[in-house]
Amino acid sequence: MNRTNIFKKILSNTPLLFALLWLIPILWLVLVPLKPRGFSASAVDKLFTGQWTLDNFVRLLTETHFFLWFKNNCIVAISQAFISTALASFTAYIFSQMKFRGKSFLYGLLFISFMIPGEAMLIPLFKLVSIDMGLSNTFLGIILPGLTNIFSFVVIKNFYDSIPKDFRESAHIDGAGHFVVWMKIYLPMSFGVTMTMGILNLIGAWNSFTWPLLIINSPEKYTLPIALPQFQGAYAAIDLALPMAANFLATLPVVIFFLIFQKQILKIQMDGGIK
Amino acid sequence: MLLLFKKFNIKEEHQAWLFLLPFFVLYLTFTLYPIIGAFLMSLQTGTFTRLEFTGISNYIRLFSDKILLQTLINTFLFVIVSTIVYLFFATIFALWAQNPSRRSTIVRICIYIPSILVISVMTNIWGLIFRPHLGVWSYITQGTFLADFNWFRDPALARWTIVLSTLWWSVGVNMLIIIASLRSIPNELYEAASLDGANEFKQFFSITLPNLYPTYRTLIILQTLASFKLFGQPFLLTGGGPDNLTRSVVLYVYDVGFGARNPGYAAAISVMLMAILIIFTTIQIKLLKKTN
Repeated sequence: MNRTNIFKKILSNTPLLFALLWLIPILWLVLVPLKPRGFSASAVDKLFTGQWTLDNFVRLLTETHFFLWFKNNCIVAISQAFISTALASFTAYIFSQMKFRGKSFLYGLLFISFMIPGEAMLIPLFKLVSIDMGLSNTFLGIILPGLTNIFSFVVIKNFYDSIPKDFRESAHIDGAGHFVVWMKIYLPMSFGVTMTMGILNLIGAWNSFTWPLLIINSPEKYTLPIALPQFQGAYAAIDLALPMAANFLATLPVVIFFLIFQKQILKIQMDGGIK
Repeated sequence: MLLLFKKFNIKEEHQAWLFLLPFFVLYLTFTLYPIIGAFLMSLQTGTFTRLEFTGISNYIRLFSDKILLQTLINTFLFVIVSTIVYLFFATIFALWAQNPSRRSTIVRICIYIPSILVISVMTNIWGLIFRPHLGVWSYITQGTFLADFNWFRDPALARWTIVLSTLWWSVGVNMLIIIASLRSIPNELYEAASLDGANEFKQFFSITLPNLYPTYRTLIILQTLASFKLFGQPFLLTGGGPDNLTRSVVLYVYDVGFGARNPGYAAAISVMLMAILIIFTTIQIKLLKKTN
């Protein structure tokens, strides 16, 4: 092989090499949890060599509240993702298939939330949910404000718009009402899109940080994103392995979900931006 | 009357409204009402549980608040720099990963994967890498002046720490949207150009880039809105320091509302932030429509 060939080969592999380098920070997330107790930031050279152990995971589940926080996160994320996706799907059906006055007005109303992100609303929302409704330190308080997902609504509505009306009309002739048509025809037909949207919402709810940080104030109600920094603070100086093991287990479910559904998730992200 | 009745079946209409109720009750309560709530609270002082009307004193205070000015400058800088940097890198990655080939798929997944990490995991990893004297960065660069970088406390570096870690975390989504746009460019354009003898470099500037403009328009608006929301990264990585140089407006709202327990003033800042966002997006939409 001559020199230009080698050069060409290196050049054509640059993207792949770079992409793998891009994942290097993840190495710490994967390797540090397998290191013995007391592994410190300065022991970089021992990252790939030296002892390996599963001790941190055992400690995490037996000596800390990690399992409780994991369970809390499951409850919050699953219920929020399930309800918000179902609600988005049903509302998308109404906007796509039913005729009613004020539709374009209501549709416009929904887009206000695109211009004004929730982060600008933290203070009044906190007062409403925490003080006025008395939902401070409850899972319901975390879940309620996140139930109207406009992005899911738009994606699913676009899909429903593309389904031929004949399906619905022949079902109506058979006496089926709108709710039944949605349940029995539109939901199954849009299963792929709705499922992917549900997974995306699950990942989003699983990772939600700012709002739970405000609503939850007692450790037994922590969700993972707000519990992890407590770990990191408490152990940072003496031991990196335990907090990193917590990070690893907190990330594992979303990575598994992502890898299973990566094709559909990447497709929805691509299409979503154009519309 | 008959026409109207035909167009809108009254029964169907009532049913539609009934069906819409759950979504819109939630939406009105948790998205639209807080906007009004922010206005009301901004005219009040006191704690969350005991607020009293005081008029516009909170708004007057906005104009003499030096920290607020600093956080506004920080946020604007972050919005501008992050939008330019992220779109630049997203474009390069998109060019690399646009084919449906297996290799490109791996590149796509690798670049996208960081964006599914919890923010506190992301900041913990970067905190570890950039930890002064002990971190991976210092280890790799030991013996050189680079090893003495304090990524979190150095006034010249701290903002870049936020920009870089967020780039790593979130560039994947922009990349995907640009890939979708690249794939929609008809192949004939490139074939015609290469027949005319245009090299790849020339093709990029005469075909690819002009065809990406509509996508950039959308992405600039989306990225601006996303960057204005900056909160978790400075909250977890730098705490807003050094000298408030990384304190974002949302972080300041949090500090004022929950740290200093002055929700009225925090609400006034929120109203200002809302106004900025509305003005910003309106101007952007108008400007971008003009260049169309």
